[in-house]
Amino acid sequence: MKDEITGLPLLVDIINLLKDRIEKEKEVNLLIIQILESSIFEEEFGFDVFDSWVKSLADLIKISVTKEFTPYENPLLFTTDPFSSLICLIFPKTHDPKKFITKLKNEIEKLIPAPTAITLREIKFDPLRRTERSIYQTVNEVKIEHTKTESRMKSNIKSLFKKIIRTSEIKMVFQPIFEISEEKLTYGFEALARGPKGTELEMPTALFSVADELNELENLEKLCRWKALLTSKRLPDEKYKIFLNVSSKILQQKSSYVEELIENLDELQIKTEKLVLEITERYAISDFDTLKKNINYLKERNIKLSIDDVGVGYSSLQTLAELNPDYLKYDMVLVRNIHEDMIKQNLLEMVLNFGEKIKAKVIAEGIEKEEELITLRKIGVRYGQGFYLSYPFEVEI
Amino acid sequence: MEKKRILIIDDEEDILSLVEEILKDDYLIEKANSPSKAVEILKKDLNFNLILLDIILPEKDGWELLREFKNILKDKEIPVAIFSILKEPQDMLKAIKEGAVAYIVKPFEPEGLKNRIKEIFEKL
Repeated sequence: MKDEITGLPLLVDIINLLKDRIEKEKEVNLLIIQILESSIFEEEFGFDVFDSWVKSLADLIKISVTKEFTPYENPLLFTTDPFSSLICLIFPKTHDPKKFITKLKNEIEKLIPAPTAITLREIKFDPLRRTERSIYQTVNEVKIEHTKTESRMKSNIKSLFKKIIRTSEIKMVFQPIFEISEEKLTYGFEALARGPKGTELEMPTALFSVADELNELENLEKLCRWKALLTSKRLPDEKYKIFLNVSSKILQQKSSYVEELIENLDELQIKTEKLVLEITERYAISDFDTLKKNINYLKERNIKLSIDDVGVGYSSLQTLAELNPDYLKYDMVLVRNIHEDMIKQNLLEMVLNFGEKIKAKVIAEGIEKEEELITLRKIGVRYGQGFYLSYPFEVEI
Repeated sequence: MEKKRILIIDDEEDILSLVEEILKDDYLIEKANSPSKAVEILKKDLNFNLILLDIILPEKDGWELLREFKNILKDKEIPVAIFSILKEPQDMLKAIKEGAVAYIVKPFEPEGLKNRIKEIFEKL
């Protein structure tokens, strides 16, 4: 059996082959390459994008191995479990791996946005030990080591986060939302938070998940809100809508978030009609009543509601309808290669019908290709955003 | 041109006959009214161009059956279209994750079904 994503054999299926080889060569090198923090990245970019990274990683390693080793050296690639982000390479002890590892590291960095770990081990034949056990043990030791690296990275990230809050080191960028049906007309701007450039907390998913872990979500949300509203004053025209993200968790607890939002708008003299509050539908809603109460409070003050990540979340369409949203944002995972995927098209048609029924505008997110845009137009989507239309841009305060 | 072969898996005999009636002029239809029957057919004959699979089935659900197919089919790829009354985004998302090529929501109009099947073959 082969792993579906990488096309590599699984350890359990080739264990006898490995055993024979180690017993014959007496010692071999084992190189383990793994994408770290895979769950965070899978959540941020969606499973099909993440799968494509794992596949590219496997393809890159396959090509590098063919270039580096002679067939006589018989390098052997495999993975430990199906759908894992870990790739193993066995090669003769006589082959000096240093240059190969450096080169591979560089190439992986260029290819994959997530951090990767590369670990070299040797497995020796020991007549007193079962060889299969040595193989499994070595692989498991490396897995544990990689988990430790991940947790070290996490603790560094936590202190970085505290510094960000202390020094308000958050930038807001704005991504235009367009009317895509006829010409490309600007409709509004989504404010997106960015942590310090080049750090692990630059992108919002990491930033907000660390905040949640440290119980600092509300502080971060308020900081982002203030910066977003303040910088939005510098946007070209008054008439555009500003989409501001807030975690639905905040709106499900008794907090001063909603009252303070109205105060902020008042202080900055921004009309409430201009604002669209965007909440994600990715996580299950636990306190629907409080959420609804907070939303109603804002709606009574003319603030509009947008639901993010529609299509990939837990809520049924009925639950979404009860929130009475003005906008539905169709998730980027479902926009990715929609021109080649009929189910994604079917799902979008259904969301469009649903939007029409509840009088909510549908905005397609994450448009990155012309073909995607053409398909979205054909299906009847009127609003969209994504790198193909415009990258987010920075506004000076 | 030789007619394409479709295997339909649904536990409701009425639906099986109806779909057969709608599609039989253009395709060769094989029917299975249970997961075990479907597996039995596929173990003998892999020569299908499309499988139309219902999700709510007795014995095991369509998703489980879909995974079982992968073992039976091995390297032979027969595209699978899901055919279900479930119409929440979550169900369609699952179909994408499990590698189905299309999602047809029941109930359907006869002409609509014909067009959808035609469309699926055009895009394959």
